[in-house]
Amino acid sequence: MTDYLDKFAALLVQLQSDERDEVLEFYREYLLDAGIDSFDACVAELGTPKQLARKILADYSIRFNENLNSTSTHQQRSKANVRSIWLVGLAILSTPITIPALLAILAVMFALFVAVIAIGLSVLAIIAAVTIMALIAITAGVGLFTQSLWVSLFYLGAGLATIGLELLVLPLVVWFVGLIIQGVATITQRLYHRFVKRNRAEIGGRHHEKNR
Amino acid sequence: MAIQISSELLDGCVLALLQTEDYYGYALTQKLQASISVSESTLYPVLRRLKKNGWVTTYDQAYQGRNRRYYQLTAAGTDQLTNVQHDWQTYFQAINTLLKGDAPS
Repeated sequence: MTDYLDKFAALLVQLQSDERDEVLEFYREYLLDAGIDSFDACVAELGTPKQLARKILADYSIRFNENLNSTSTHQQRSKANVRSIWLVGLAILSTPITIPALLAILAVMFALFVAVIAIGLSVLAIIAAVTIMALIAITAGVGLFTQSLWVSLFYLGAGLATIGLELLVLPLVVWFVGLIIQGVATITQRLYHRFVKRNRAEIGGRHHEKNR
Repeated sequence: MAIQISSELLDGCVLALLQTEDYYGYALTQKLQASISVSESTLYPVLRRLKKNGWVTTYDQAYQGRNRRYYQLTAAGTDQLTNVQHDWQTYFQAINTLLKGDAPS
């Protein structure tokens, strides 16, 4: 029995220690009361430690996903940010909250979404315009090479300098876009905690509603 | 039994058993299994849920040098049992009507 419970306990490492202790204590008591001692008899009664652990962990799975968010690495954060924005949107859509609140949240999220898209598109447009200008200058420079050496060199130089400048500024732009995404994620997460978490709790105790 | 019991009903059944007396985990499982087929490992999540919702409380009692954890129905649990009983009656009648083939047209 002890070896069965040890194996079971090893599979429950993700749980907080007090919760794990409670689960283990329940099944230890159960097996003692059932008079079951051998490992095989335990498996016959409760399934393999793995099966039992899966059953218990499924019960905790919602809290798991929340924990995963907080343990993501630095590199994954931007992706996780984008994903959390979507998740919050979906969570809000799937939660039965009052319509005015829902509309307000959706409006805020929509506004944020539009703002981010607008900023992103304008940044892209600026980059594209500058790049095309530089390319035109270079092409002109090459074309004028045989007619006027100095003018052609001026155009070539200007075009190449512009592209060089762009390459210098690009990391700054990427950093800026990342900052915006993170800002939006923070705002949506704040919304989430403000409204959805309260409703989560209500879902967990949805049977209470009938009591009223 | 081919029909799977829903968690709401299982909650109700456990609450109903606790109405007459307090049980510990193993005895509760035995008692349930005398009437319906539930797997031996099902009960812990059920009891955890009942406790989290405040429908049962627990207390420990020494037994042969160890503790047995007893589960006791609360007032909120009694209310919930009434709810489940009512819901089940409604559901039972509706399904019965359908199964007999004389559903209202």
